[in-house]
Amino acid sequence: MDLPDPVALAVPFFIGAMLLEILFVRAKGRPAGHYEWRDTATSLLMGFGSTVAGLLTGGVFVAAALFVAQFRVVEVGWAWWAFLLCFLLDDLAYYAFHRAAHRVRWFWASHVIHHSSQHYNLSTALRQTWTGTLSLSFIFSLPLFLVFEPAMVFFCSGANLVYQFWIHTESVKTMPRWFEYVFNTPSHHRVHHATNPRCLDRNYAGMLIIWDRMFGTFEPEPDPETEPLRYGIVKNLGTFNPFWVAAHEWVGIAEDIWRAPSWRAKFAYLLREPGWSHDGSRETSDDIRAAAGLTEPEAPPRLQAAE
Amino acid sequence: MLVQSLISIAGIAFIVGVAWLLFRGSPPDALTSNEAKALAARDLTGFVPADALVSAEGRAALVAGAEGRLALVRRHGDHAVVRRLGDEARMQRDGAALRLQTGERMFGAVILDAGEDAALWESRLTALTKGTPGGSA
Repeated sequence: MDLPDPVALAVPFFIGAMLLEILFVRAKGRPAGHYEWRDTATSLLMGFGSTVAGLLTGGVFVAAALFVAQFRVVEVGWAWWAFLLCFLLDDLAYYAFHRAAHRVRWFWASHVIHHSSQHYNLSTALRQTWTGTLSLSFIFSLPLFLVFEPAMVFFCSGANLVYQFWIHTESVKTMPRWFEYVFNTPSHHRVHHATNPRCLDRNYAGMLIIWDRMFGTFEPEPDPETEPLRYGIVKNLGTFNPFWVAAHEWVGIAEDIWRAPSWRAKFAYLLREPGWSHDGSRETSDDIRAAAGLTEPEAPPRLQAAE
Repeated sequence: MLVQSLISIAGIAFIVGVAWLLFRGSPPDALTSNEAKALAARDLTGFVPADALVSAEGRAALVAGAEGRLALVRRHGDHAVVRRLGDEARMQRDGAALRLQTGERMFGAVILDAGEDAALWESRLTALTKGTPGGSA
């Protein structure tokens, strides 16, 4: 079956939606969702560079997927329920990838690009990494190729990314209660992009927020009157240079490994959480949360109650 | 593929152009001493601000905290970035003007007019960088 590339099809929609958001925010005259043209340029150039990098390196992912598909354990074909199941499991794989991308510095070095804007608007959605294939972030999707048709997995994965575009906005406050309970929404994802201590490493969802509710990483959006969200990363970059945005964490890892006093520390700089240091001189998100008096929630084995 | 790339580039130019047209007229307010201190306290865990030196045009500020700590606040677009200064920080003094660098690649230099307090701020940074006067070590 020939399936289209959802991301390529969505490009005109991305442009139209950004234009509408810009006009809406300007008409409202609110600071929320404000566009800063240099920030926007950086985000969109990162997005364009990401597609170019995908063309140059994406073959590695395709080759790995086709290799794994040789060992398929079951033939589910193209049934409608197979699509639904594939969407569901692809979204779970995305949750796993995304959680690792925030908790393992090797994966964070690619993913940090998406968080490096201090703005939160639709252009932020397109601020994407150039080194996703290099960091092997696709390995989280590979088990899906043991079950589903490769084209189906690529389609579902692309559709998931397109879904995530619209949640990068401050122009939508909340969706209906039932929708907020099941799906990832602008409200949930604003929390994910915020650096307020309570928001760090929370709401990893792609399309379905149920994974965060199940695995104990869900955080509701605080009341903006009492705790306004601030976006970006703990140590904001202070540059609009797209090459530095793309490479800064990789450079940081290389420098840390070079200076690390032992092999154990060298590996830890690759595999421990962002902010870890061998001498404890830096802060991880856990340190920041602890300093703010926040304790880690107990991971509930079942769905948390709806807000 | 080439056509698709050209459409994407045209789309980027269009959106950036519209953002520039509609939002360029609202530059961020100049930093105040209180805002700089609040930003340092907010972004740096355990930083207790006591004193601040703001640049003439309000684009940057040096904030002194408890226990000899120092933080640099700099406007970035319409937001700000904050750095805790460590022993890699460097300062060059030319009369009342202080030229500060965090030691971090790509962060750039910040120039502050400290007026009569130039020697005080210089001594604060010197103490921080463990006896490297003028940051020349």
